[in-house]
Amino acid sequence: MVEDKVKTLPPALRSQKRYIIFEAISEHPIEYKDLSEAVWVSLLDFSGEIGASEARIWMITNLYDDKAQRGVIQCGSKSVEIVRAALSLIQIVSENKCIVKVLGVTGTLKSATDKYLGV
Amino acid sequence: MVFYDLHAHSNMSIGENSVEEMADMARQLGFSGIGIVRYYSEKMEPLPKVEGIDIVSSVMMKASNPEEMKKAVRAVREKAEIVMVHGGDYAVNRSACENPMVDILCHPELGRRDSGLDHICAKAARENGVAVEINFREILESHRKNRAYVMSSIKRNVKLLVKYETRIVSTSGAVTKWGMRPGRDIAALANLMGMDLGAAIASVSDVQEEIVRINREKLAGKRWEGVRIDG
Repeated sequence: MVEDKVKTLPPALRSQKRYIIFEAISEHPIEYKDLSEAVWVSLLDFSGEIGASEARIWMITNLYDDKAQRGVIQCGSKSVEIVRAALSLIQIVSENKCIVKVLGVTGTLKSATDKYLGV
Repeated sequence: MVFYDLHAHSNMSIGENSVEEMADMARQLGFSGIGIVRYYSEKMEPLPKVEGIDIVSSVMMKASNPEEMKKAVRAVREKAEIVMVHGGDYAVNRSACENPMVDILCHPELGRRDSGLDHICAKAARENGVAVEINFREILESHRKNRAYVMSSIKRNVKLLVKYETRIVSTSGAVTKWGMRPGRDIAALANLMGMDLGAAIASVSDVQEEIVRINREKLAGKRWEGVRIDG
């Protein structure tokens, strides 16, 4: 019997992913859910629904560091510059002025956490 | 990588924050140098120095006609490290591109439905060593339809500038410290406006750093057109 589970694709057919590590600089502490919302709104406004669908972003909630305000976004390798630009267009999060700064882009989640999240 | 942002406003022009606050945020965002813009006036005091970041004196000419702009540029060239022209009016844009004393033509598309530059301006800018700016603030502070128009104009300009091999610089144009962005992220936007990624990154780093370095050599008397004295 076939299970309700999609098989992992062979490497050549898998989508290429990148992990963008970012840091939010703000006057006062911000809430993660507002930041996540702001990222989606910015991406949708900037590249539209079709651009956002091609970017395939995933805000990785588990890895968000509240104190340092650092997190990771997974996106498609072809959309890294678009996501970077969308992040740069964020101005306000949780009613606070905010700058989202990209610390780096890596190919694996492990190098993202090792190099930037001090885990 | 040495990142520069030559177009930042402090409370010495139309900005909200002090020079020190702007410089501090720039350093936090990874910049090696920041250009504090002041509008041209007779008296220009030296800018404060801040630890850990190079503060460059950028002087902006905001003129309503080419003659006024040319006079102002001639008067301030000996005192300013960077001479910028406030673009938007076609006659001023064109005149700035034809003037070798101008370093940067800022936001030529400002307030226009067309892109503000044509092939004549692009070619003249190349021949006279004038760089044209992609101003991030124009994109940041416009929304929806307006943002679409602004980006469309910038893209048309970039296409022309790349074809004629004119230098392009990308700056934040920030009026508050919250308007600044890291250099590499401004470069991402420049890349999306039609520049090749390597050229986009150069537009926030090497191109700007080189303009500053060469102007400083000229102001110190160590460089003339066609001659350079080493040592």
